[in-house]
Amino acid sequence: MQLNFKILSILFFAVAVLAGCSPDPKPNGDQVDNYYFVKVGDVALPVRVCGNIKSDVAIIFIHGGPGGSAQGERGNIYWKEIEKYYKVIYYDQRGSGVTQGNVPPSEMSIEQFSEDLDNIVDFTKQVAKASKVFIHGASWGGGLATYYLLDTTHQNKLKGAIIESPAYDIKNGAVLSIQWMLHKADSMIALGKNLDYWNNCKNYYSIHPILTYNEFKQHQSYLTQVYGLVSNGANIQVQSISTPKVELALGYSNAEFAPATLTYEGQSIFTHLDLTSKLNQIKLPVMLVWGAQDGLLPKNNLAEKFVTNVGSLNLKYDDTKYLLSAHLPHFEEWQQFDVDTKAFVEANK
Amino acid sequence: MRKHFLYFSLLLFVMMYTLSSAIAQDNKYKDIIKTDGLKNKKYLASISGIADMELFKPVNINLGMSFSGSIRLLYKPKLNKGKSVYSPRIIEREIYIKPTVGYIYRKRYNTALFFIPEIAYRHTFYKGVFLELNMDVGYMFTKMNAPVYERQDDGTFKEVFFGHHNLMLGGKLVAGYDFSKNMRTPLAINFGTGVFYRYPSNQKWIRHIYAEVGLSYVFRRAKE
Repeated sequence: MQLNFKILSILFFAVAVLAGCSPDPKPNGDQVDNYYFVKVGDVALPVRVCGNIKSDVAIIFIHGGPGGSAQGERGNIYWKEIEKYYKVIYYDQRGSGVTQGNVPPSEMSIEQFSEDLDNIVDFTKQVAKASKVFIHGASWGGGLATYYLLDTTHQNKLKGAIIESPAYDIKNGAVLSIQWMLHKADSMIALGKNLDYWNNCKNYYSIHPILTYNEFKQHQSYLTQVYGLVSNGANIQVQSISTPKVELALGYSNAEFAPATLTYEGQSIFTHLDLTSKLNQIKLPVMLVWGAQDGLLPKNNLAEKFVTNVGSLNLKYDDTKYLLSAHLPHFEEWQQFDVDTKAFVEANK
Repeated sequence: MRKHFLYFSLLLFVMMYTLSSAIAQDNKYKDIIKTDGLKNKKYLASISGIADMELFKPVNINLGMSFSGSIRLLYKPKLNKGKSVYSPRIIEREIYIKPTVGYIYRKRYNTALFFIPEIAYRHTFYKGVFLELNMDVGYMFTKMNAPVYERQDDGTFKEVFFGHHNLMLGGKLVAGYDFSKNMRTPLAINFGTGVFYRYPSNQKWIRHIYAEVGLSYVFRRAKE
């Protein structure tokens, strides 16, 4: 009886092994989906290389936040079309997303983030085997991309940059955002909607005329009420994707850590980041995209100021586009963004 | 899903195989469980399956295993009145030190390898059911589960081995049944839940909640 039981156990285990030893689902046809880490000092930046394995063109996506993550970005249907033609590099920034390591606050600076991005660009060329590299920075990522491009050495490594609602001037952008929000609050009061809430909102900004990290959460909460971040959620489409088995608690911790510690020239980015006077140093081809309904970094006049000051002679910007989008047009008007991106990349690769 | 199936099959196989071969003699431990002083020695060899659960959306479960050997440091049996004076109800109160090694595997992210000397208090009721409270302080190494590249001084990239050293702090509450107490099988099963924190991550503690199910082989010997 004991021997039969042992034999049955062994047979059961053998069947389980054979059934369980199936490989992970592979990407279809010419698609690639590989994970890496890029070590910079004591941090391991997670990097996912996806897209067309045969393409020598790569687009590096620089996520927003700060403190956000690129791990879920691929769920945006926009990237499905882009990955058919090009390689796309998704990476999490230092002290953000699910990046691992013990980062001291002294290393949480835009200067260090720019150095990290330079590592990613070189990695893309050497390991991901893409000779023509573009960067796509959105929101805070657009601000980081702008800072990265101030260095001519960095510009020479790239074919072009897609800059989407960039946080290149958070210092003045926050003031414009408050004005935008106060105008919306007045509109809601005039409509007789939730008077107490909107009067409290106006009172909040009279007490906090300058937004620091501590006030930004509440500010974004108000913006959400009047669709200042996402204008029309029905336009957004997502696709199911696989994600690594990350420590989610780490992601939540980093989402708090990064905005609280990030600096520019030793001061908080929320009160001191303004790259306007240096934009003339950017010479490479740039595609600028800005949603007309953006309340976090209002298009008027941040977009015009960028266009006026940037040094590039090959600037693609259409003021009449993306009228339906708020802060992230590549989510809300992804079809138009797909068309514009492909046209820009093909023209400049 | 298939990986989870393979993991649970492996665990079930180990338990079934051990159960099938661990048949003790009748009444083997009847005279060993004594009440006056330290009259017996007891050791445990345990294997446990761990499920590290992320309770944020989306719910994420990462599996691991741990292996420990328990050495009893203190034993304070308690004698309760039974149905007759010839069959007292013996409650075992024990403190163990449990050197434990284990791992938690997170695909395409990291593998956490840990070594923790646990301190445990086990309260075994007269029928064999026990409750155990553990405290852990130990070391964890999180190894990257994807190729790691580092830019060298000459600008080229080289694949390197990389991971992070962590302090691990936690505890768990476990319930189970000790077959060796009243039956002839020198086994105990347990299940429970615990929490551990690893440090440092940006100078912060990162919390993990996990569930555990385990099987122990119980060595009981009369002390000379």
